Amino acid sequence: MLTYIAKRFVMMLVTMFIIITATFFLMHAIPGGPFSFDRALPPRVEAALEAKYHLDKPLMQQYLDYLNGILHFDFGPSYIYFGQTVNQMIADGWPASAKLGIASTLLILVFGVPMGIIAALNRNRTPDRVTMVISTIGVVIPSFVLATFLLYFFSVKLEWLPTFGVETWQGYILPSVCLAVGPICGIARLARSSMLDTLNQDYMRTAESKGLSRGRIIFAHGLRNSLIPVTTSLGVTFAALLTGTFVIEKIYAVPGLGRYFVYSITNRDYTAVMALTIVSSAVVLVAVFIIDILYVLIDPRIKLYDQ
Amino acid sequence: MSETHGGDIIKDWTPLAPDEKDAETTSGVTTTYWQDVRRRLWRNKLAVTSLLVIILILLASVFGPGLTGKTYDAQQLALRNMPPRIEIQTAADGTNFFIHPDLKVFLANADGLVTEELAPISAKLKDKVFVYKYNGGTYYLNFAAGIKFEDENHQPLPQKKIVWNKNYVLGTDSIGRDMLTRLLYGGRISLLVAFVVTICTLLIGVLYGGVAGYYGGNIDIVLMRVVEVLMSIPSTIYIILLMVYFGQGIYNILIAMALTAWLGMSRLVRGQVLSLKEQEFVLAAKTAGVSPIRIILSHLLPNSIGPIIVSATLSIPGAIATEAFMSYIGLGVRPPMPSWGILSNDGIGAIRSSPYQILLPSIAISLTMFAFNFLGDGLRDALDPRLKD
Repeated sequence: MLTYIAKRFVMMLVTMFIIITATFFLMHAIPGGPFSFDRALPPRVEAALEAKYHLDKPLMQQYLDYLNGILHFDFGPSYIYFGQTVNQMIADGWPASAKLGIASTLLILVFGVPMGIIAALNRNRTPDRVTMVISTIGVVIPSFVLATFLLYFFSVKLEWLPTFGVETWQGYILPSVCLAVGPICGIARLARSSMLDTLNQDYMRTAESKGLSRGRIIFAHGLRNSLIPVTTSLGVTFAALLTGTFVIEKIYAVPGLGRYFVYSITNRDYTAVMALTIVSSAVVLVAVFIIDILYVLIDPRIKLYDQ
Repeated sequence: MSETHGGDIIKDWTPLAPDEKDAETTSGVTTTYWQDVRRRLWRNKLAVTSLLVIILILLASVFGPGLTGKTYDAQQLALRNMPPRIEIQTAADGTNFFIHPDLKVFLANADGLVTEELAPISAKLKDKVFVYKYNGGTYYLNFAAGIKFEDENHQPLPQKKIVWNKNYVLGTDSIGRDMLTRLLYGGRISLLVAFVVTICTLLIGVLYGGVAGYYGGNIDIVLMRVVEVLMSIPSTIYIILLMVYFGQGIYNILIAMALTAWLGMSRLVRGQVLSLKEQEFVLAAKTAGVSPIRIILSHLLPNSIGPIIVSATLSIPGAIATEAFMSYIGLGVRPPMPSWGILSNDGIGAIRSSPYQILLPSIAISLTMFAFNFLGDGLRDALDPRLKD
């Protein structure tokens, strides 16, 4: 078990290292530095700026400094907001994104899993058909298109909910619904097929012939076994939602990490782009790592050392 | 009960018609695998409808932009934000007006052809009234409570009717470009990106996965580790990084998406090849001295073509969504070239005043995504009926 964890951990670090390196060199290979404005700066100002941000050092030195900074969770200064560090901006943006992510994940849990289970228990009957049609639509439609339709009906036509901003709790409703619909439908489909798989197992028939009640069969034997793949998928979704989403945050003007990411892309704030890339991939990678380990713990049938 | 004589028997006997000859045999007409697939696909109404929709969308976006008589970047600033449906108000002397929700008054004809904007001669901002003079008549645009257009006696105009915008059937965008042309041209760009990316996915993924699966051993381990590492990077982030590096533009988004999209396909092909390569017909080919590349191309791939086709069909809507998404956050094709994502991005700001600007591209995207998904599902069921459920 320990060897397996160690192996996974090293694998995660290697991936992280590759992401950091690739991000760093890609960002530094872009023609035109962060201080190339429309009007050329006086050479002395430019030299002073470059010295301040250590851009005058050799690239390898900058790279090692950057790696060292990341080890101390220091992502350096922002190139656009003078005097602000990227760390501060991440700290500012994360709460809104995280709240949104948690709200969406709760929605996914409350709606997605039961939808899939109910569909599976009523296989090929009306509830199943309805769920499958809805979930196909939900999986297919892109989140920003859904956001548009929801905005149009609930904010413009009915005027029930605010069009943008998260100053009030109502502001969180539309964005979290938009974020949740796709995963809800995905999870529902996954839960359905996984539950169907479980229902066909021999031990389910055994449980039935032992004379257990239907509720006990479904909850104690069916659910426990069929929720394993669902947990995995849910974990990754949660990690991805936690670090913010680009389009939904932009549409609803949520002051979160995703909107800030888009903003720093358009403003060429390279340190911020690098930091956000690294942070959001790190969160996903750590989540996958934890899930992989949990997976082995909750499902002893999985053979560790094969992988 | 009548006696049978030889002559009667002969009279009753008739030779079998050619189609009755095999009445006793139990087998039907033999059909090939692909005939079966086609039959199963035709029976799936949803998939056939989707196929028709896709063909229509393709035809519209290939030929449509040339047929509208307008270009995607021609602006007519005076006629910006023109909705597709307009209300024509007719005055007593027969002059037709169109009152724009942005508090502008246009001259129009009865069919819905908006001609020019009428400038107010004075404004009483305290009473929230604009005053217009045309053809000897005086008109008031009162926007104190709602928008009311009144004649000189402060009475509403006698006639109103809602007609289609004659000049711009789907209206114009915020800088006066024809929405219909832009929508069709945007479809061309979005579908082009989707198809080119899918073809690249096929080429790279099939080759990479095929080599990894066929050679196995260390080559497989190295190749698949690379895929694993690349897959663990969230793909949107990967594309965003590449686009920040490359800069906006249609070729750049093609390259960035093609570089990220082949990973799944290579895994799929590798799995297929792995399960097929131990079979006897491959052994036979090897014994006959067929080269590895030939074995991959003419024995292994044709036998795994089903899942590959399905995966390719299902990757098209994914590519459309990714392109729209990238354009939406300003990293896609370069304006003024439209794509469905750019149109959505342009339209979202005007969702209150001109909702059609965002609804039209959203509907186009959804329709295309549904069509490709249902076709992909139908193809999967048709290619392998056991996979149903």
